[in-house]
Amino acid sequence: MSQDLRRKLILKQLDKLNNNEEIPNSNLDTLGQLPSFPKKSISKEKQHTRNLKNDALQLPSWKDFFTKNEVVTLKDRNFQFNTYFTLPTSHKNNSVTYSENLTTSSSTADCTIPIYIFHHGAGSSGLSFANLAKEVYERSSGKCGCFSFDARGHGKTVPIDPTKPISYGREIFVQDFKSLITWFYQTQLIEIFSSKQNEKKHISLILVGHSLGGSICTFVHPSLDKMIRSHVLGVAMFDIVEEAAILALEKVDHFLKNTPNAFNSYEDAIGWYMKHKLSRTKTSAEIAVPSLFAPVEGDTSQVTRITNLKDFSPYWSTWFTDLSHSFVTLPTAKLLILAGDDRLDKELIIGQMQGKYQLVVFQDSGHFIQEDSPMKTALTLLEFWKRNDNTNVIIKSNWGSSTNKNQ
Amino acid sequence: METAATTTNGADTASASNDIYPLALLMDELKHDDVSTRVDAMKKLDKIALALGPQRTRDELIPFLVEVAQDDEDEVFAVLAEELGQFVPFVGGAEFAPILLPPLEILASTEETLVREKAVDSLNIIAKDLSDQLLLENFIPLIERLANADWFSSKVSACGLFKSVIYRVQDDNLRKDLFQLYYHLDQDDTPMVRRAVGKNLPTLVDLLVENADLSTNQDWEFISNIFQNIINDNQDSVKFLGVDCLISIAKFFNAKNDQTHSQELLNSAIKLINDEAWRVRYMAADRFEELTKQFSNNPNHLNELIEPFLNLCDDNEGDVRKAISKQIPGFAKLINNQTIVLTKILPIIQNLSMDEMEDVRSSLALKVNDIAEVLTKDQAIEHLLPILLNMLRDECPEVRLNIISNLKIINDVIGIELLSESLLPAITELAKDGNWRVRLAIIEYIPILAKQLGVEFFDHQLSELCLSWLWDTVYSVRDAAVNNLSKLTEIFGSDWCRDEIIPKLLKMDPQLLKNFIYRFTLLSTLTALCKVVSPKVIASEILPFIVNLSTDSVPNIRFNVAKSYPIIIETLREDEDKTDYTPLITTTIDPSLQKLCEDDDVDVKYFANESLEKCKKLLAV
Amino acid sequence: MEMTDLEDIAMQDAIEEEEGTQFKIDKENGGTANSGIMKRDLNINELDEWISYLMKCETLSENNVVQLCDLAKSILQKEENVRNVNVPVTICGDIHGQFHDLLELFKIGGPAPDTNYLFMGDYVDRGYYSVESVSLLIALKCRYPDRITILRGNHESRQITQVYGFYDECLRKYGSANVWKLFTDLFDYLPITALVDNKIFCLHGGLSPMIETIDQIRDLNRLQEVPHEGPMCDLLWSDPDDRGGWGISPRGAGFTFGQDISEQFNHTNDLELVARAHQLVMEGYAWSHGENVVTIFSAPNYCYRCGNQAAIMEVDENHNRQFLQYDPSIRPGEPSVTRKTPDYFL
Repeated sequence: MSQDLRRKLILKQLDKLNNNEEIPNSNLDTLGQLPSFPKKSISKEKQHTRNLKNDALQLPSWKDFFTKNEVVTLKDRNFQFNTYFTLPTSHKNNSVTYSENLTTSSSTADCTIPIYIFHHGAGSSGLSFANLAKEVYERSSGKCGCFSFDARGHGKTVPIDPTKPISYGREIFVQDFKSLITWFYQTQLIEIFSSKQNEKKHISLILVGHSLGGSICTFVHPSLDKMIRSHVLGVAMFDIVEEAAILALEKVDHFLKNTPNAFNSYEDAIGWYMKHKLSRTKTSAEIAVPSLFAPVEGDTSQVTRITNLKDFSPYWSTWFTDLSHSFVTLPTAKLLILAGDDRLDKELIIGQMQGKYQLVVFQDSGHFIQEDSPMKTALTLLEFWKRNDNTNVIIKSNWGSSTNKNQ
Repeated sequence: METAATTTNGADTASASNDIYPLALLMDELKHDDVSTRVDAMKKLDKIALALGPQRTRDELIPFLVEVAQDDEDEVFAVLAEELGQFVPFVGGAEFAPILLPPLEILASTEETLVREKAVDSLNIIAKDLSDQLLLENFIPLIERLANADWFSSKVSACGLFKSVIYRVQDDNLRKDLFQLYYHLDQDDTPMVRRAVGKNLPTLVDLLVENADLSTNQDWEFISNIFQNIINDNQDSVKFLGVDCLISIAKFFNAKNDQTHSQELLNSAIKLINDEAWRVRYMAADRFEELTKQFSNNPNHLNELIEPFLNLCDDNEGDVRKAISKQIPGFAKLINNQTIVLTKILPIIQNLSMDEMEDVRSSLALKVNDIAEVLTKDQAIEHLLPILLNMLRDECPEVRLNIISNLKIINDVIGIELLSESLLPAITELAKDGNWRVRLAIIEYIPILAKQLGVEFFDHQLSELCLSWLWDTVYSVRDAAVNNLSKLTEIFGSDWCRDEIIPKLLKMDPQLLKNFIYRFTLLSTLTALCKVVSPKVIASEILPFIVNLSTDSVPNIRFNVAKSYPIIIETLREDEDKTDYTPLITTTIDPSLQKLCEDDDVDVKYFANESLEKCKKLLAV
Repeated sequence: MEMTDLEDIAMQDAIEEEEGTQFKIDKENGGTANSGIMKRDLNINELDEWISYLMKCETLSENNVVQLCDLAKSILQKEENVRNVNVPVTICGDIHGQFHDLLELFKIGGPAPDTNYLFMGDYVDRGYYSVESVSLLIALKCRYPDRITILRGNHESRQITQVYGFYDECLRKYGSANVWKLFTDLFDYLPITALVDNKIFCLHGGLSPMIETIDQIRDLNRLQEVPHEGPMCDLLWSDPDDRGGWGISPRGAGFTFGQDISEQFNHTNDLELVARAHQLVMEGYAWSHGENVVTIFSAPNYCYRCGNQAAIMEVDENHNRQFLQYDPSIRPGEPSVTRKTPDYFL
């Protein structure tokens, strides 16, 4: 009992803490303004000691995974978007912690700076990528940047004027995403390569989407401003196949019926997600699951689900249509990571068998690849950037060295 | 494997403590994190039950399974549901079978269709073993519970169980109650339940056909109401089940020679055939012959179906036309009226033979030849043949293939001469068809044609064609062409082959023979002909050519030469004229085969040695 | 390995018994002078029996697979990285467990050993009959080592087969991964390229920036799992491309190579043509880089849904080439694999 009480207390304090931090931001119309370049990332040691001091009941916060949490108000979208990001910190040291490809030599000085832009799936939240973002950042020794956010209808993103009609069609999500990428690019990224230290540096944007987010990444690519699009190195989709997704839509009602919308506490919610294997990695569940729930008013630890998936049902038909064909024909590098099975549809099979994109299957992962296998996913994403980083990859060849037959 | 040592001991001593080991192990595996392990464990359920014996299966295993049935994944449930269907012997026989019902009842209520279906199947299997009393005491209450559950999945399962009890209930009141319950299910809000009612109704009615004296008017009132509800349902997916229901119901009354409902049923049939939902019309089209059969004892009723039939043939939906296309000859036979066939049905066939959808034409081609059976020879020639010839030129190979494969019926009606006369141009055309299976089908039809046509006509019209197939790009066509020549030789005789075929073969264009495939085909052809031509022809024409090929540069040719020798020797030995070919064999085949036995190529050597053995045996006899 | 104790005992006995016979066979084989040939002779009737059995789409027993792989290993390890093949020969691309289409291929091209065949890899994965397909091809290889050549594709790998179906199929059909292990161990021995009459260079994928001359392939150590990078990986993974020079492969392994590269390679090595598989082409075969490279794909309606034709290439003894295209075989409906639809929505 006493433990329970303490937990509630801690949770409340935590909530207050978070709220306090967010309040000043939420009032800002950040578009066009340039917040100061982040000081160093929040000291990890400090975080750790705090975690150690408190007992296991202490849930992690966004700060353990990202350096910034900003609310971006986009008036023309009628939404205040809750965003998380980490900007690259160490640009000088390009060493990364995976093995170098033997046949590709990358003169490290010429590497671009990879920036991973995440879009979560329906019913999820920006913190679904928290663990992955941290892994990518650490494994690249702070060299890469990450951006994640809560899409409309999710997490802490809220409409500016709730009385206006709100749509959840794919094109709407795509426009939101486009605006946010533009905001992020103009307000945060330009800083990096306009600063003296990085004069010759270029950034590479990698659009990464899970499930519905994958669809949005695919469809946002052609709509991006030319300038920004020229920086996009590739698109990665996690566990999404058009045909299977459309089939699965028919089962959503059943799924929703079996998914509780309220729990007695965040811990219960995490426990339920773990038990039902919707999340398989505790550290991911602890940050991702609570972001799906909001505390119930009053003196209780109860939490309720924020996103009502039912609200989206009129738009389902728009979400995945023509996805496979569009993905395969995107004029950029493409990566598809699937969980469990290789269940491609016709377009994707033909595309794969013609070598149009890279397919990776994580058999031991559940649907939430970024949560279940953050480390493997991070390595795959870094490898993907490295392979496709046109500015630095020189293909080593021994042709001409063994014989003198060169014409 | 680490358990091997302990369990070996355990099995030897069969001590009580070790006896529970299988169950413990199973329970462990059933709790394994990995679903596939749990599924595998579940598949071994029968072995475990056998090891435990009936008493402990009832006391320990079944209660445990009841728990499992409430908390696991669908994959595990599916296996459990299936396994339990075979479990009656493991629990000690039929008298203990009711103990199996509770876990299956739970499984029959799950949401996953697959699990539910397996549970229902198993319940029906078990019901067969139950005595009437056990059925009454255990099974019927189970149906009642499922039927009255809140959740649609239970009700759907309930619908599938009536067939196990209906025909065994002798008490009219109880049976009425059951039909009333079924009727109640039919009024459910969810279409899934109503669909299950519609799906199972034909089976129930068929059971009443088998037990014609069982049902009462009360029962039929319910059945009739259910049927009316089904065919008036607002959901197509329910309504279309009405077609099968109608067929079953009509069968019942026909079996009783009761015509009082005939008109009523016909009206329902026509309503379904003309339904605005294409799925319903499709179902009616797909079952049209069967449906028509139920009204075949009343010519007036049959006539009333003609208009609706023609409507289906002219339906907007391709799938409907495709389905009805297969039913046309069957329907025509039932109508059995040449005027109608000529004035109504043949024009509709003409239309369908030019349908814009390939599937429709191909489906028509499958059965259309059968229509010849209701036509006279002249009618067939005048009206049917032009349509068929046109279809033989269809751009879709499947259409052509379907027509060719069923030519025999036409043949029987109009006679081969007329058929071949009109067919020849089509055959020549199809001989070059892009689809090799069409070419193959034509070749396989040639011997029948040849038999009817006679040598003269054949030599004039078809022999060149038959030879040209030998040089087809597809092996199977070449192979069929080889067989075709032997069959033709069987029909026309050895002399014909010697005069007409062999000279042409041996005078092959040398340019063509530069390709080993053609040399190979020639070798195969000559070898095949050895079995059907006279030894004289072999000795004088074929053998020299084959011996010549034994030094071919391609090993595949050489080892096939080796394979040919025993065949040649065999036929030479069987000569009716008793000519002694031994000198010929020892001077030609023998040295050639000896040489091949020393060939550099392993396979040539192997097959030459094998042939040598065979030849020795043949000559020793 | 998970099994009940009852089975365990039976299995133990079976293993002992099997080891006994195994030993006997080895002794017999080892005892003969010309063990290669004798080994073949010893098994020829049995092999013929297996082949006729496999032709009916039946699987061999696990014990027979042990014997088959053993024999195949002894044959394949004598073959070079670059296998010399004589004309005439019929060259085939990916099969991918589409057993009935493999039979169709033989119906089109002619049966073995009457027709000589060169298969360029990817026998397993994706189709429903990988076990039957690869067993048949290996049995034919063992029975007619000089008539049949089987190369290694990128799917003849432990890692890939665990993802794309072969592993699961072995598990399903044999109840354990033993057969998968036997086959994948054998795959290490498959030659990686072939040279038809010194003129047509055959391999599964494509060229490598590390391989300028065919002789350089002869120096590779192929007895290993397909690596993630390096020349052996490239030969099994690369694709020709419209862009010139070397490029990064969108597949994540191997490279793309342009017409300039193909031309130079064919010139340097005095070749007429590079024949390769690996990519689905709708017509079953496709020329690229002028007529320097041809892609051959022999799995019609790939994965039972792609709607493509298949093809094989006949090369006669005068180096004339003929492509034969074909459609899926007519067969009773494939078993429908019911996969659980995921709760994708989230």
